[in-house]
Amino acid sequence: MKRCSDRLRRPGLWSTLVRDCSGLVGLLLFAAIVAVAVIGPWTVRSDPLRVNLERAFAPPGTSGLFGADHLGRDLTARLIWGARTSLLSGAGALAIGLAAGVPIGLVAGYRRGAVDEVVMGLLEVLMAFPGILLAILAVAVLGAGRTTVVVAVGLVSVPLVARVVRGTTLALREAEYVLAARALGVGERRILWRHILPGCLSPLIVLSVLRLATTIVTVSGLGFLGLGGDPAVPEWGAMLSEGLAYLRRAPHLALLPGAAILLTVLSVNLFGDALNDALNPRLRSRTGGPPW
Amino acid sequence: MTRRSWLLLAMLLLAPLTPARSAPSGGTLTWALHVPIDRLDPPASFSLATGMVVGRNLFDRLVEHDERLNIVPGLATSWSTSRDGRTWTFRLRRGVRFHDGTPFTADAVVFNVQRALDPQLRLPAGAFAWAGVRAARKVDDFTVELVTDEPLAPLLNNIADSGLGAIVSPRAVQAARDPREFVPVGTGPFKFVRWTPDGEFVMEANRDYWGGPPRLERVVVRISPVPATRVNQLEAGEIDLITQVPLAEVGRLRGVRGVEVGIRPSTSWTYIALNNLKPPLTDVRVRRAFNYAVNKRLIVDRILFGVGEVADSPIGSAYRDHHSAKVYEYEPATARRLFEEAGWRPGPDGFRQKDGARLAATLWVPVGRFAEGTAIAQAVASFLRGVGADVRVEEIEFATYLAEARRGPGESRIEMVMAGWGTADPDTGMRLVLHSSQWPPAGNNLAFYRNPELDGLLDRARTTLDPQARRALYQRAQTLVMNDAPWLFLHERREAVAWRSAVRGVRFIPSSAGLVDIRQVSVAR
Amino acid sequence: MWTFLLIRTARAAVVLLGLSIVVFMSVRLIPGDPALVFAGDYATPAVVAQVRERFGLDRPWVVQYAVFVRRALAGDLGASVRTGQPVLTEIAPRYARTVVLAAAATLISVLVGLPLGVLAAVRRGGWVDRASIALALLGVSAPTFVVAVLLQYVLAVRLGWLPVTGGGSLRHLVLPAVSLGVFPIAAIARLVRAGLLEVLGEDYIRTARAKGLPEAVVLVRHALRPALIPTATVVAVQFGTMLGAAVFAEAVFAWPGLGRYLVQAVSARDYPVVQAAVLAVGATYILANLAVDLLYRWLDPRIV
Repeated sequence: MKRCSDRLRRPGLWSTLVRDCSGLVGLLLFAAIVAVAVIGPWTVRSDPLRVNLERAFAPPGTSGLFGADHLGRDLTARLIWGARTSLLSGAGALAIGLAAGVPIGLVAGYRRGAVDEVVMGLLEVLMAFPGILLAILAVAVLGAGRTTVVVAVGLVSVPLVARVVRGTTLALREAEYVLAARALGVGERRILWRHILPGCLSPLIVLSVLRLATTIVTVSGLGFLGLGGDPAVPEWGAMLSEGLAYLRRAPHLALLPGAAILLTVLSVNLFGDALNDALNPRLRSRTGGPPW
Repeated sequence: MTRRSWLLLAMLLLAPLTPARSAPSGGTLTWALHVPIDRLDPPASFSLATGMVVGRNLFDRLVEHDERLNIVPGLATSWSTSRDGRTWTFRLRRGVRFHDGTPFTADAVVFNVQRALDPQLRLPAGAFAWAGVRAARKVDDFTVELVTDEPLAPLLNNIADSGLGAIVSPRAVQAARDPREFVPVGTGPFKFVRWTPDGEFVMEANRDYWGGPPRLERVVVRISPVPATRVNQLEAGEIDLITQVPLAEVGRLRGVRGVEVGIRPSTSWTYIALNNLKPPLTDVRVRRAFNYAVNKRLIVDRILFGVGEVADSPIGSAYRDHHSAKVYEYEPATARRLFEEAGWRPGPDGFRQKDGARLAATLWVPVGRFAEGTAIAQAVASFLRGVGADVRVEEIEFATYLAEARRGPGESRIEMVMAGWGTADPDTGMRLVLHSSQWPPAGNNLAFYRNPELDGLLDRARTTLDPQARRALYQRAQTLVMNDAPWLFLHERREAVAWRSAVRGVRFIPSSAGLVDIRQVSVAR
Repeated sequence: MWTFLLIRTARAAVVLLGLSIVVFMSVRLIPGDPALVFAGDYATPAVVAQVRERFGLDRPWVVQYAVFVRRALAGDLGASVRTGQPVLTEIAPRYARTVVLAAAATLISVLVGLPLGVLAAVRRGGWVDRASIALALLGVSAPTFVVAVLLQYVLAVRLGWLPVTGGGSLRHLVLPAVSLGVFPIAAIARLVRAGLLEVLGEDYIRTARAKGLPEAVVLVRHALRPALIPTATVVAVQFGTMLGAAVFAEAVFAWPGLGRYLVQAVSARDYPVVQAAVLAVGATYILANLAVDLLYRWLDPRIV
């Protein structure tokens, strides 16, 4: 990845400029959003949960920066707290996807044979429905709620993670140093952990970043469908859905959370794209798995 | 000739020019409902859509309600009770035929009553209508006797209530071996044409209706469950009449040309049942405090956009025996005082406690069941938290709600739950949700409320046929309940209905099923 | 070719079977009692028990599954716990509407995305290219429900050009289909652009140009074809994906399709409907992927 400053000295090559600088822009934007999520709740004075019917539907500017929602709750506070909910849920889901997917992929790719076939078969079945439906089904089984949403979305990521790890493992297991280690009688677990896993890191990192965009969107999507648990807790997807009923009367109730989701995902994608180009020029981009 | 006779002559000459009252001026009404019709046999269904559309239009009842819930003759022209009040004699209307041509006689009435009360058949709505009747006897072709165990004051209201007491053609019932084959044949002003469950329900005018044919020629009923869509369809002219107008749109719709909006009282109300068996809600002072802590007027005004009335009684204002007993106005200071009196003092976390226990409760609200239910619940919880009660809202699925509503006193997990009710008679209105014999799983007394004095009043009122005496009993009952505050009283529901200006004659009959009565409607084109 | 077809189809069938088992099992784990929903508010426990018996909700799972498969093969998918109507009649029209929506969105995505990608590649570095890249990135980042709300607000509520909600006519289809299509437009445009750029750098393109062939011919006959192969498969995959994303477009615009109905059925614990709906969409997805595999193989026999 050429440095951004180099590019600035050569006007005219717009696409490469955009491509390389955009990664930086994305990272900065995302960092800003994370900062809002982490620090924001402390700086905001109003309680995002406090209902104040007198101020219901207060337009932006009259009552706080962004006004109030249908129950008179401060929208600015809710947006800021919502950042925390959405980011934590998205990250949590990703963590679950990695925690389950990586070991599965490693084992399947290393052992091959029957284990691999069975695992791949199961993964293929899981990937045989659009992720959002799988998430809805999982939420239905586990019951709606913040934790189950995170688990459900994490579950949806497992097959993809496992598949990528498996693919890399399949390639790496034939590498010389691995063969040597096996010949020396080194245990499977150690080989996986010390020799194969590090080789998976590069594609995993890219996948993780790009996948984060998807998990954040899916989590918001489930919130939008009303499956996200406690309605009082600010969550962008749920806020968007609540705001829909008042689109004519107070459009900012729906448009602001929507913009927040969009910005967050955009920043992650920008960064992830740049990372992808830098680390894995050969890896196919994630046109197969959209954020919903 | 005198002036008078000129006038008379003029009237006679002009008479042919005025449309005969009974000749239909035609027109098709397209109606969009917010809930689906689930089946065509009204005694088998409590569905609002079945009652309002199928029950009220295709069928008649022995007696009917007018817009004020007065009882007027229907298929029975007169009725009387015996001295001991246990036998009702109904004289039936002559010359009435079912849509399939069979004559309406006492046999049909007896058939319907027996069918509704047959425990093998499971017709919950029919059983509700005729509950308390032990037997139906034919005296002659046009006279029927109903025998009850005790004098049954709610009988007339119950059987007049939309689809519940619908008189169905015996032949139609016998012809259908499977409930799905059932063709709804009644004596009503409209005849069944067709129904596709996912699509339309169509009915057409019954020209031979004993009360004169309706003005409409045809009615097409569609389901449009999404409120915004219903409104769009109305405004676009695709639909003539819609029910359950989203409250946020009422104000705007009133100003739209070509659209009329009607808001009417109903017999329904929304409340929050407090589990009277669970501390701290066992203490009446705490329950009263809860009532004083919530600003119901503001809730009606801001969340319901003014479409509703603060509760002044445990039953809705459209009931004839409704009494404006008490309103718990917004008095947070009173609430705090009551808490203090009951020993609940503010604890370190700001919420009240007493003897180590915290003043906390979970408020359940079933998703999508009540207009703005979640918003109301959140507002209520916020008000309560403001006076030191740690109340949290939990949305639950309707299926879970039903399951929880069936748990008995020992196992019930209910602390606070949003609920609604509404019927046509104060007996079914109060007894089924407040009498101590109606604790779950037997009934719907979700608050597990027990007050022997109230039980006594309700039992007596049920068997008191004299309207004045009955009213006095219910007055006392309502006052008693309001003082005892087994519930967090919220508001009476008002229905918002909208129609295109070309639609005339929409009437409203408060009842168990929906409000709207289209039997007098005409559509001007 | 035929063995390939056979193997792939058999594999798809196995996956479908696996899917049905997974769906069946998971749906049985849902808490809450569906018999209660069907019986309704006022039903006696006796009625509830009758419902439970009628739908076999109290028999062992293995038996229930066997019954389910047998009936399904005969075309009977059970009856909706909520309305008592046959599941097939409940979901068939809705399924059709969702497929129509997904197909419309796919069509839009190809009609817009393909030319956009070609244009961007051909005018590389120009303002079209720059704008396309930016828009594509935006399109790929905007979740369907956000796009849907935005479009609804601007085009329906403010401008009144299109209906706000509803289904049943072409006018009603426009907004949901466009909302759904935004992501695939972006994805396809990016892919076409990237693929085309790669191909345009190849030797044989230079040769074709050197031969004096007009640029358009070079483009269409020599460059586009290989670039289209991965695109075709992506389009087919997108179709499958949109079957899932349709849930959101349907929710926002109240398009009466299967997605929305499924979410409602899940809340209502309507097991037979949930099972059938998920299977219907899953089967479609599997079929779409199968078609992709076969298409890929047919377009470029070198690739397996």
